[in-house]
Amino acid sequence: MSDPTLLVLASLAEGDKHGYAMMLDIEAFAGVKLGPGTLYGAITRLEQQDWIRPLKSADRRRPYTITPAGRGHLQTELAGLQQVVKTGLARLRHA
Amino acid sequence: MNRLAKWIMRLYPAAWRARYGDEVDALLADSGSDARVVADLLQGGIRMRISMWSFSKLAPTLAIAGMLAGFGGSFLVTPTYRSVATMQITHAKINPADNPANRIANLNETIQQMETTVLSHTSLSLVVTDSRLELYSDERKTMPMEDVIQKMKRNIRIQFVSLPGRLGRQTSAFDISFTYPDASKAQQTVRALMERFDQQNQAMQAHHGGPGEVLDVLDTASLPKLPVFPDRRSFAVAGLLAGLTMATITATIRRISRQFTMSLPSPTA
Repeated sequence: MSDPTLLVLASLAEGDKHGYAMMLDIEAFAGVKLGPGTLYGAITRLEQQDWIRPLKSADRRRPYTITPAGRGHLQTELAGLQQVVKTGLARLRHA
Repeated sequence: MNRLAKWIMRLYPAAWRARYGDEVDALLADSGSDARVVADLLQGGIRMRISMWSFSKLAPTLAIAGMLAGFGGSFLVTPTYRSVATMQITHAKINPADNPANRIANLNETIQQMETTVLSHTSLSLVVTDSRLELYSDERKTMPMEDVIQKMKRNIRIQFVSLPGRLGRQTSAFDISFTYPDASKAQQTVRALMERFDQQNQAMQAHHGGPGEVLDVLDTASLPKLPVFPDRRSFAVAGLLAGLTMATITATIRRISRQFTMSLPSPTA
């Protein structure tokens, strides 16, 4: 999975995080190191879709939270991916 | 590197910087920056900037960029030059009773006979291996002579030229051209081909036993100054059209997906 928007949603599904925390989390669970341009490009798009929301912060490190719509989108996308993975693995076993 | 990363941030639209600039600054302070980070920011900035442009701004920008790329790219292509000479052939003795059309048809037939011999494998291999010319030296190392000759033939053109008025009823003329990456060698090769035509004409006269046709040079082999390929103007125009096409495709995709359209949300803080 290398779609940065899905990676950000998957990271926020675990809890609210600011940009750097997301970057570290994504690297840890997916092995993908997102650059700041890619990360904030994804954050921008996710905010436009109302799939994530910024939280109040006195710090420059503004945390984000996933919205119910974002959670629903992530669930749909992951279910689709799961189906692909399941089918692919089954076909590999029978090949 | 951090300074460079911050400088690249200027590429991002002002509205985006006002909304996310501090956050990215803080991220860079925490993560540090290296060449990969700088490249990522640069790519993101360009994408964001282009995604915000209207078609009226995107089209001329990509068209100009394409035109410059096409023009610049034309310098990466090996240029080829074409040298041209014109020869004319006339009957040594003109019988006024002859039909001019038949006369010209006979001359054209003679030219075609000479052309067959001049462009034969034996004749062209002598031209290719001429120590003064040393044509296709790289190709000759890797390709059989037959293929080199075929390649040379594709670069030689013999074309009839129509002559005006009375001259056109007595004389038949033809162009000999050769295209090659070296302008001087192109010229020398055309000269060599002209010599071969001359030799062939003399051989035909000797064979028929008498003065048959007179072969003259109308225009000596030219020394080309400008290449015939690449045509830099065509390359630039192709680049311009490619840029316009890219702009149209980008605008269409953007309109369909609406994914990259910027309408920044207001900050919650």
